Amino acid sequence: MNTDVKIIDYGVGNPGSIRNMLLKLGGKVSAVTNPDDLSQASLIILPGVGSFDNGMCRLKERGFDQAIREVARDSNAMFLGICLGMQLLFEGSAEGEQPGLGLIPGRVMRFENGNLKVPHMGWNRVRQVRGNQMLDGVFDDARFYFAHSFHVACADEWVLGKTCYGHEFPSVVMKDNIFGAQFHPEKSHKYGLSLLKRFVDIKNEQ
Amino acid sequence: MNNKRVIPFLLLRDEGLVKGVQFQNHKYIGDPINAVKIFNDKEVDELVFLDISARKRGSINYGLLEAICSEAFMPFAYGGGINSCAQIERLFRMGVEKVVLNTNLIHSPGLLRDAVQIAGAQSVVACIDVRKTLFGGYEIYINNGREKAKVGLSEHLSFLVANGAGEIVIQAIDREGTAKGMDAGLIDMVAKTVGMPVIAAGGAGGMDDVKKILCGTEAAAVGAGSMFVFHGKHKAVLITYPSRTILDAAVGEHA
Repeated sequence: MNTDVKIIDYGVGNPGSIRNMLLKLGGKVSAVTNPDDLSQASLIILPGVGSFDNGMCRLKERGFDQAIREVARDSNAMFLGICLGMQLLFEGSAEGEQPGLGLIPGRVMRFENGNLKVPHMGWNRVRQVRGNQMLDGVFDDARFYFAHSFHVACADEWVLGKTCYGHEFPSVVMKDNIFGAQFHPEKSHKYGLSLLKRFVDIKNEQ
Repeated sequence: MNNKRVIPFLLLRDEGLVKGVQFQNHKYIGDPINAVKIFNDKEVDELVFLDISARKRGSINYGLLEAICSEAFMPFAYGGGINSCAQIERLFRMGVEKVVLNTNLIHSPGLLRDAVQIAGAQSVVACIDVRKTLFGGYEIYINNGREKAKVGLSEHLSFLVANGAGEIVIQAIDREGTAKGMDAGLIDMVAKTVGMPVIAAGGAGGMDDVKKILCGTEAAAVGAGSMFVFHGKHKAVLITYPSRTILDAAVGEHA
C-alpha cells in the first residue's frame, strides 16, 4: 500500500517545500485545500510558518480545525504538525488570543532568555527522551533547522524529544497518532528526509 | 550545540547568478539552479538569494524562485523588490523560508510591521547596507547602494527593533566583494545593540575571517559571496562550501 500523504494548505506556511521532500521519498503527495479531502489520507501534515493567531484563523476559515479534530479522534491516519503546525496542536499561545486545536495539553510560550537572541534560528540537535518504535535512532547525530520565537511547554508524557536553547524545550511531541516537530524537516537536508521517511515507511508497512 | 551559521549570499540578475565588488561591476557567475544543487550536496546551513534586478524590473521572478525552491532542502531566504504583503505570502507558499527587506524598510515603513504580523518575526530579515564616512561613522545606502538614506543607522536599528524584525543583516558596502576581511567593529556594535540575531556580511575572504567574526563578535552568522563562488587570485568561478568538520573547527562548539 502506498502512503497517501496529504499536506494541509491553509494559506500559511510552505506546503511546497514539504511536498518536494516527500516526492523524493516516493508515494502519493497532495496539497489539500478542502477539509473533506482529508478523509482518505494515511499521513496528514500540517505545516506552518508565522503567527499563532493568523494560523488558527486560517484553519478555521477553511473548516480545517474541525476536520483535524475528527481525524485525530477517529481515524487511523497519522498526523504531523511542523513548526507552527506543532504549536497549533496545543491549547493556546502567549503569542496570541486564539485558542489552539487543544489536541495535546499544554501551551506555547515565548523564549525569554536575557542573553540569547530571539528567534531561535539555526541548526540544533534533538535529544530523544522516550522510546518510540517508529522514530528510535532518527535523532542520533542529527541536526535540524529551527526558526521560532515561541516554544511549547507541556507535561513530559507528551514529549518525545527535547532541544536546548538556553534551556531545554520540547522539540518533538507525540500523543496517540498525533506528532509534532518544532523544527523544519523540509529544510533539514538528509536529516529531515530521514525523519519523514520513517513516517512514510511505517504507513507503507501497515 | 554550535548555533552559528555560515550562509552563502548569492546575487541574482534576471536569470543568472552574478557577483560584483562594492556593489558594482557585476559579472555573470552561472546558473542559480545548478548552484542550489551544489549547495544542497554540501549541506549548506542556509542560502540567501538577493535579486539586484528586481527593483528596476518592477517584478519578482517567481518562475525562477519556484525552480530554486523545488531544489533547495535547506532554509532559503529571498530579497529583492519586495514591497507588499501579497508578494510575501506568495513567496512563502512556494517554499521561501524568509524574506529579506532592504530599501522598502525605509520607503514603506509600515511594510515591516505588516510582514511580521503575517509571517512572524522569524521569517522577516532586515538588511542594512552601509558605507563608512570620513569621520568613522556609518551611513545607510538603499537601492543597491545608489541612494543615501535619510535615516541614521542608530535610528534605523531602533525602528527595526520596535517593529519586530527577526534578523538583521549588516553589510559593509566598502568591503563587499573584496574578500579582504569584515568590519568587526561595525558588526559587533550592531550585534550588541539589538536583541535579534545579526548576520554579518561584506568582505569575508576565508574561514579565518569567518572565525574572527563568529568567535570575536556577537554576530550570530556570517554571510559571504565571493568566498563561495570564486577561487584563487584570478577569481575563477568555483562554487564551494566548507565541510561540517572545517566549519565546526573554525567556529568551535558553543553550548
